[in-house]
Amino acid sequence: MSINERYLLGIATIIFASALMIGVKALLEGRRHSRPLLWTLLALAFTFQSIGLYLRGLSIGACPLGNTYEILHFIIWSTVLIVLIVGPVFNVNLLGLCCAFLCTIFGVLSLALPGIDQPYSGRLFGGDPLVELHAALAVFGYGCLALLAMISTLYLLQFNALERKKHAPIFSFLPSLLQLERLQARALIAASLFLVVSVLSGLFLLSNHQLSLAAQVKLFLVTLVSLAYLALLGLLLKHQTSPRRVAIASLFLFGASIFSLGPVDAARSRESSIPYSEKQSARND
Amino acid sequence: MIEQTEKLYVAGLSHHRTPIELRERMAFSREEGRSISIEVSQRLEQPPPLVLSTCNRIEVYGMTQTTSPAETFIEILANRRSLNPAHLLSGAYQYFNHEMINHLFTVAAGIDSQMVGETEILGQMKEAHRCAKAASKLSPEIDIAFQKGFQAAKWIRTNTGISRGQISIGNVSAELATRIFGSLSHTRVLIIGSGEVADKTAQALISRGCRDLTVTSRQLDRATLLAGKLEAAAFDIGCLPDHLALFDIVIGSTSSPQPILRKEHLKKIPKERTRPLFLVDLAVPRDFDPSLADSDGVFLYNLDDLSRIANENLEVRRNEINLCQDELARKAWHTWLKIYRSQLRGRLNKDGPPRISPTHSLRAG
Repeated sequence: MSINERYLLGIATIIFASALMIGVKALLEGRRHSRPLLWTLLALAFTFQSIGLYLRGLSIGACPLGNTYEILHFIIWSTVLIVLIVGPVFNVNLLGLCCAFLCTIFGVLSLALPGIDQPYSGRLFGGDPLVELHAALAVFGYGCLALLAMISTLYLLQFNALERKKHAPIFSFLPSLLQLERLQARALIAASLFLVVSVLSGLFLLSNHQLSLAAQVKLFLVTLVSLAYLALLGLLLKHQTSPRRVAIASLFLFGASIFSLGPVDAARSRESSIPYSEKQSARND
Repeated sequence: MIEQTEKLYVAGLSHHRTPIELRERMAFSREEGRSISIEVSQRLEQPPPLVLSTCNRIEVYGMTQTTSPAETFIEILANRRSLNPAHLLSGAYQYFNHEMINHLFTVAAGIDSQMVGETEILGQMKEAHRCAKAASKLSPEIDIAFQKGFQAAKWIRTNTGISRGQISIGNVSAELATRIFGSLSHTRVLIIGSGEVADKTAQALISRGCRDLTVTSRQLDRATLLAGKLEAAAFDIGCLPDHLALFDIVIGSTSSPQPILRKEHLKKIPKERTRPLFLVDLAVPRDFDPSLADSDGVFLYNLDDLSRIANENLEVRRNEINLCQDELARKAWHTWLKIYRSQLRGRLNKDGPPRISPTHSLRAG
């Protein structure tokens, strides 16, 4: 594994953490954080992360989605990309800060947890660009889920503060309930769409290709996650549930979908025979 | 130290030591303010000063060589209102040089206001400054002091908590509505009751962009009267249960001894309606049954809740006063030094080297 790309992803995590600290400090002082500064830091971290993932992609010759470490960074990358597009367009207060929080947590976890950057063997996705596209779409869908989780967090904060009559400056900085409800519905639709496309492409691949056990486990879990989110979307559109319940369910489902990466990684590890590092040295030779 | 002949001054009366009965007799129009300015200018033999007249203060800012511009100003005011000057002088104040600038900054930042941190005073000062500049040749020292005062006020409002939160019931309600609905331009408001409280709360919502208001009351003629004033619609209170689903914000301020809105009324709201419902109960006894708060998507605030928020905000503002005063004093001192240096430069060009007086300190002004 190249030290440079891990170093770059580490720098990106430090920048996310800096953005988070600047924002939290401003909130604790009861004032709004500097939006241009926060968005600049997010964009900078995104740049470092893009270069880091690109370098790793070059070294493995595919989209870097081979282990939990890479998937976590790809989810962070997708989330920041979506937030960088959605945030300024919809002018959502504290979304950037929430994004910095999530990326810091994921970044620190990915760098600190031992063994999640497992070496893997063989050519990733069997060299099939269709499999690679399916995987990238699925993980990008997870980025949408992360956005939905962030919006849900903001919604629940504002909702509970209003219900319990809490009055602190931070709640005035949060977006309004109605704005968050609209964003919640849009993020849920986008996430469901990505997941459905990803599942359909996965099922198509399953019918035409010999997929590995890890890929099959992953496809099964993505299908479960997609069905859960589709059910949630249906309930919301039919007014069978409240936005508050959708927010709680979104957070729960996002947590579950992240934890489901564990079984995928375990299945992948069982399949591995040639360490990734050995493969790299063989390629270098 | 260098002897200073012309001093910056402020003289006036404010809510601190002058009761409202006297202040309301002192109130004057813009034209009269201009004529007072000219009279003060003639009496003090200086360019016309800037006159500031608000509900809470009547002040004059200018240049003088005398030590008691307040007496002159009060005498002019008293003559115009046929009052005893001695009666007014007991509540009058005057400040010179850096203390004048410090006072100006404190007033502009809303620290000296009755409602600490209010922002209306800044607009009034800007208007007074604009009028004074348009009407006469305002002395450059006063001009600089005011411009720096506006900058200092802006800095204070941006960087401290002096203007944080709302401190009137109407504005607290409007702020809560903003937290629920965002922009209020598309929210529908129902006001139940036609008294002053309902009127003021409606005004606060209108000032935040609310345009769709409806009034209902147990007396339809009074509801129609208030509706006319607010450019709103009115309907009979008997139709309330049927019309409730149409509104996002409902404000209750009647003197009804029984709750007007109860949980069974919410059952008539169709399931398709997903927008939150914000109930503001300003009445005592309460107009809205407290159990309404248990319904999903309903936010119920009563007078105690709103008063608690207003008091918390006021406390936050009060806690910020010392910090603001320190910062304003520092900024005022720098502005004063800048003005003083420019005065010295001007005099140097005009009269040659300045005289040095060993008895006056710069800080004493």
